[in-house]
Amino acid sequence: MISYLIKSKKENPPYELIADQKIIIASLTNEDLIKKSSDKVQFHPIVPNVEEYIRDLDRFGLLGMARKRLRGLSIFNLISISILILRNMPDFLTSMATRIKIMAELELLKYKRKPKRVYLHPQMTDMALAFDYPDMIKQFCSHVQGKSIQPAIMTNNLAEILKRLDDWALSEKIVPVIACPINNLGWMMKPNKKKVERLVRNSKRTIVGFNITCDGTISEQEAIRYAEKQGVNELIITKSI
Amino acid sequence: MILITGASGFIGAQLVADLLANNHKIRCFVRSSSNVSHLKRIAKDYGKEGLMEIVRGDMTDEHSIVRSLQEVQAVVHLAAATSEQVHDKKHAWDVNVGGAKRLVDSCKKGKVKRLIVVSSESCKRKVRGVYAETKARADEIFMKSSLEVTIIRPTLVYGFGGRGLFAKMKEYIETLPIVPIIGDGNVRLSPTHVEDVSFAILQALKKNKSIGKDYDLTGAEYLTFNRFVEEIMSALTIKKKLFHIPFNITFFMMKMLSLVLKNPPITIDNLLGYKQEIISHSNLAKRDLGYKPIGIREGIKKTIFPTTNAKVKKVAIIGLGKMGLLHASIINSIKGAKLVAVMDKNKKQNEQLKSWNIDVPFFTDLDIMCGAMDIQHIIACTPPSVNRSIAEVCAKRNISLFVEKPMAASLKDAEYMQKLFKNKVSAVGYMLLYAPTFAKVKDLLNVVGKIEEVRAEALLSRVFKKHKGWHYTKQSAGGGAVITIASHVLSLLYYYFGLPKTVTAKTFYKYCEVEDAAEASFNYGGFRANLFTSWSKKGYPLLHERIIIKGSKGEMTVDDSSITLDMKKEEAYLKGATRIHKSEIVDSSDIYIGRDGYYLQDKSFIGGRSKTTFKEGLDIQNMINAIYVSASKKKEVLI
Repeated sequence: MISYLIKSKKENPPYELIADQKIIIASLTNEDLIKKSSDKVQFHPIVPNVEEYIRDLDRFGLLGMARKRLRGLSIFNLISISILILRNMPDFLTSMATRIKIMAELELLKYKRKPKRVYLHPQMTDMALAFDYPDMIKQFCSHVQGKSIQPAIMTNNLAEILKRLDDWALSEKIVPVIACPINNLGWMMKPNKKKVERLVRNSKRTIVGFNITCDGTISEQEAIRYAEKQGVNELIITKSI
Repeated sequence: MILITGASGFIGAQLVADLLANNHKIRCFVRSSSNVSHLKRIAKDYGKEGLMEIVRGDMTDEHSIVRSLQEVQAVVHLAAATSEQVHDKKHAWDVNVGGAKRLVDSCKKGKVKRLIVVSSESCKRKVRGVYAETKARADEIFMKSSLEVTIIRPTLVYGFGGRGLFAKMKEYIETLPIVPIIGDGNVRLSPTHVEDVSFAILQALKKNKSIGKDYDLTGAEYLTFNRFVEEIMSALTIKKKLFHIPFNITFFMMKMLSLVLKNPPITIDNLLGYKQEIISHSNLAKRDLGYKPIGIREGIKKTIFPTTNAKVKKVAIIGLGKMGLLHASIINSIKGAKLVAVMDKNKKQNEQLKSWNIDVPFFTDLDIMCGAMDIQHIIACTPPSVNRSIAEVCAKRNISLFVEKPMAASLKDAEYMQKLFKNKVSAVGYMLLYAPTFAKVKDLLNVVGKIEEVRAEALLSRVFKKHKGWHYTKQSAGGGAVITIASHVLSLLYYYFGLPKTVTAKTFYKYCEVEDAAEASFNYGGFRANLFTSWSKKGYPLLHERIIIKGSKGEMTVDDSSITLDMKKEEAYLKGATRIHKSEIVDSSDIYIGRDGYYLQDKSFIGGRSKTTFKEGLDIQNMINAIYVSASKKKEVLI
């Protein structure tokens, strides 16, 4: 299964050109893409959109950022998100895990149809890893699972996260899918290619490969061949426009 | 081999550290749902990973207990359904009483004779809650068994990392305008520090005369609850009024809350314990075990400002903004390094770190932090104008210092800092020197032949209106686009070509008090390096840094993702364009956090091998300063 992650450095990219791929891994940076895609397109969102939050905070301040996030939500959705925040008080004020869960919910509300899978942003996963903070992943996964959506986490540190999930007692039932860099050059396969290859082959979880072409350094066909050889059948291909 | 049941808990973690420090081989018995990453971290910090095993099991599952006892000579039994978890009474009985029976039977089956049980002072109460009752029953089972049992009954246990009464009171003191106290606060208590409990267990394991005895453990003195709270306030240098709530009202409120909340602020068991003053004596422990409890003042200090005996590099971070948070996460991931304290002038910033589950001592004053904690390295993520005063404190105390780029807000400050750190470990956060592509260029400079021209740019779409914050004031930041976004590129020019002879520069102001853009032309003798920077350039949502190096044999273009070599004829590389993506460059970092370069940069600093010490930082500061001087004088200036 191949899905596409659309990246653009342009402010107004021509999203309509790629809006008909079958599965698109998207974050709310691609709000236009979400709107312009046909109904046949499935979205697997990456939440929360960390870079966008930081940029918006810089540009618009806290209130401006909140306004931007809430813009376009129906009254019903606004009420439901408010209830969720209230139900999670006071943790919402003190726990990043709870905040991320609510940010994820807020972003999911912007998709027209319920996605089948939602990814936790790699920066969040890797920060949870660095801070030894299982709650981040636990809360995200159980919240998403509670909505009958398959939770997935993205990471740049597969070996370390697998070890830590075990330490944290988060089984494959709780975290069934992990997306990580898989490529023939071993780029971003931390700590090294051999170890990641071995772990991928032996993992009970579904492993999804990303960074497979190393920004076009490897051809798509070659990248897919390599990934399949490692037993990775789900891939994310990055399309730059 | 020593088996520790309930090793992942508060006392367990301390005991694990102490047993490992004493080179004991241990097996930690934990539930299948328990987080054990902190135990692994302890073993790693002590360099004793080989001495620790983790087995998952449950006190309600006898098979798992029997399995865990293989090759075990002694058991330390800490596992319990604690007073915080006794909302399920049946479970509490099953774990505490049933678990005791199963452990005794399993020990008999496994031929393990020696058993140290950590019980509770609450067993001695007349009116007992579920926890106290089950613990008392369990003690009877242990003592009636034919095993070589020692029971240890500490009073209220406190220490760093605990989540009990001490942690709650500390939180109330720090966050509430007044401190709530149940009753008149004259009830006496003698809390036991967790290190003392662990010490007593270790001694009991060593000394056979402890077999068949039970030991009460107390702190060094008894004090009223009011004084206990006042001592915590004094250690925290906080003065707040105490607000006494009548016991019956609290009891009623908690009874109601316990019907609704899974984790009420105080459990009924805790309340019962609070009401019934028990005076215990640790004379027997003092005589048999050499028990010497620490005084309350020292205990509180140790709890608020914990120290570690592990041989790790102790790191503190100043400034808990975005960069501070990133460095904290990286330090937490470097093997052999430990984040031991944080400091920020703004108390609220600590909440940010706490929300990520990092609870280390927080300070608002650098001198106080350095006095209270054992710190070897400091990472300062502060406005450049503050770095000078931080350097003074660190130099005086012989603490290695890393400052985020640029080194200082002025050349004078940078010169002063360099003098202070002449023979000390220092670093400036020019992380692009560690990023794979930019670092690789240094090895490839010969490939393009004699350098003829260099073009460098640092562009960002950020400032299109007047902005607030320290980045946008001359006094705090020292400048605008040059200092904030172009200093990285300047560090690369310095890294590749050294210090230029002269510079001619222009600065442009549109939105801010500091420059929004700048042009600079550095004279390197045989060639010029031209820089353009702007934070008000459309089309660059992410910081774009690029350097083009034109040489006699070809041209090299480098940015964050790749190096492109365009050779005039075939030599080391083919004629025409060759792209080297960062994926094709060996990257020695074994973990990825934030962005390429950060991890290696911090690791190099901790290891004392930074690419940019204050010496190099001063040279780069010289280049920055020369840009401003040239722009203001409107002429070429010497560097």
